[in-house]
Amino acid sequence: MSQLRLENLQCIYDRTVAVQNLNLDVAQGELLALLGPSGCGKSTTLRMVAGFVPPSAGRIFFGERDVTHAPPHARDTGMVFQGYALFMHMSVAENVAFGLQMRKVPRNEQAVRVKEALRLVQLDHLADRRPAALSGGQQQRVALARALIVQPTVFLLDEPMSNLDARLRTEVRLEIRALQQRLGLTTLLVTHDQEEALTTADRLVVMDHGRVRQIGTPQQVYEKPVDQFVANFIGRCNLVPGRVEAPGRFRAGAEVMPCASTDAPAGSPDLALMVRPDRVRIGAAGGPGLPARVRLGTYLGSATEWHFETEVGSVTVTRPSALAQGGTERGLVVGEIVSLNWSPEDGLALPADART
Amino acid sequence: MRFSTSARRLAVVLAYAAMLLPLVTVAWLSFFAQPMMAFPPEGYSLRWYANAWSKPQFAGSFLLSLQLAAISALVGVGTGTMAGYAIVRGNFRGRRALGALLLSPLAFPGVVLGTGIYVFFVQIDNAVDLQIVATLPGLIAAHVLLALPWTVRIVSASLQGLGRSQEEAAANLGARPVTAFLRITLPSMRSGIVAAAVFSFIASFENLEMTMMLTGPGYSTLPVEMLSYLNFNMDPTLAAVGTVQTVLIAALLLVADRFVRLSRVTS
Repeated sequence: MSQLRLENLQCIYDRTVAVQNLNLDVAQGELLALLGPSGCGKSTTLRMVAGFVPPSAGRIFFGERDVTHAPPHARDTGMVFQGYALFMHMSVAENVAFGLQMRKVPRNEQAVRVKEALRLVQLDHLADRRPAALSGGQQQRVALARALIVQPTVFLLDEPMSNLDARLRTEVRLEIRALQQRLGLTTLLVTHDQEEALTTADRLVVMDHGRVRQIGTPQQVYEKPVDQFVANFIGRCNLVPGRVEAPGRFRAGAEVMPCASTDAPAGSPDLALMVRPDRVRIGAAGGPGLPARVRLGTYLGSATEWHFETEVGSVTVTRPSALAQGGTERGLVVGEIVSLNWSPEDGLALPADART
Repeated sequence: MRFSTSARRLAVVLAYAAMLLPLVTVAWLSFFAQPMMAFPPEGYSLRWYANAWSKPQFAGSFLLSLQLAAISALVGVGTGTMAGYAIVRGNFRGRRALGALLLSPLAFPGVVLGTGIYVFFVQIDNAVDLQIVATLPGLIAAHVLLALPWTVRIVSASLQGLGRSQEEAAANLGARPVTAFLRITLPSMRSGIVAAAVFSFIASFENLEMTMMLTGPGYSTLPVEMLSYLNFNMDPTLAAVGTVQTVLIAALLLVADRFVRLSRVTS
């Protein structure tokens, strides 16, 4: 049974539609990431679940309970705010204890649980500090402990990593995921960082202009994006506009390229062939596939990114750097002519917007 | 633009001199021995301080001014804080207009404001036979107008700086709106409220122009008494009273600054 359920949720303010007909089911213990560019409605959705924004239509359920019109303090959600929103005039321990005080938990039990929560986020030694005296990462952990201690029905994370530097972000991401799984928390994560969403979520909801583009596991969304927007937003991709000439044959100008057979009608407009840069193979000149000229190679450490010019536009290919080192694949020279090919199942003919 | 260090130092010295010289001069004058203020001093004495305290109009009006400033700051900061909160956090029509209205006492010359209030008080007196002019409630009502603009301004600024997220976090953790206000919002505004109280107190304590219109014989504040004393006397008694006033306000500011960093209130 789903722990969090959104039914036809809608939010309109200032006559703009922030969220439109959103339907979601989040299972007990599942981490669902709402992902999209700014203004896509993901934060509004989270704030509707927390009770800060009243929905214009639709309903919100926590389990069996309809909370659509419940005030925020009666919802029993635990939220980690983007800027953490710590109470600056209270100590770390007082911050963490606040939710228990509001629930009128006996004092001695409060003390035990605060200690436990702070140990969980490895901050027990800083209990008496003021938030201002902590680093960004430590403040973030206080915010986590403060939200977790109340054992919320729904755990809400609003861009929790956006104020951390890149190195810390990866670490904290793993920590949050581990905590969430250990405690079995039903979680909604809002992020604009596709890598964060891919690596932490059980399922992703890709949103744009208040509407859902695609819902699926990270694998589904990456491997089988429903349209060009999703393909572009999750991971990197090459997009070549054209049309499906026959099943498995995609035509762009004079070139015909292999593609997976799709549901997209052969004549549908705005189609583009999508191939992930890591799925393209580089072959010798004159070989099967798309003729291409090497324009630039960028060494990225673990991978090397090659940019090619072709008849159908520029194409990016990433190859593990180890391949070039190990000699299984020869190095490329700028200006050199090669041919690019891929397995038919890696070429997807995608519409611009699957919903139209 | 770049200034050399010495030029900058000179600018600082000049600025401090412009601010402090009048104060220092008044304090110095208050210790002159001769009854006519003239340079150079013929000697130094504390007789003007004794003289000021021995005159009932100064002692009495000093106590009245203290009382008036304390009560009107309290009332003004109380209502002004609530008004500021409503203006910043509320969601009702006419919030901006209300904000502008509460700031408007700053825009009127004190004498005009005082005259207007005086006429209003007299009208009430005529209508319901209740004397308000030259009473403590009347003065408090008028002086609350001095406290309101300061408080609304400062409280709005600190609320805007605070943002909504801490209140939202409190609500998220189960706090009802009143609890969130008392436990989170109010303590976070502490510096702003203390600053508003201090400024309101000072604005009331030293107000002359408006109050002048609202006092009566035998019932008057310190600045008004000082002005009327000045009509007939030119001895350093006023310098002594002014020095006491200045020292009192300076002490108040220092204590308040100890309690909350006033310089950081607006940031």
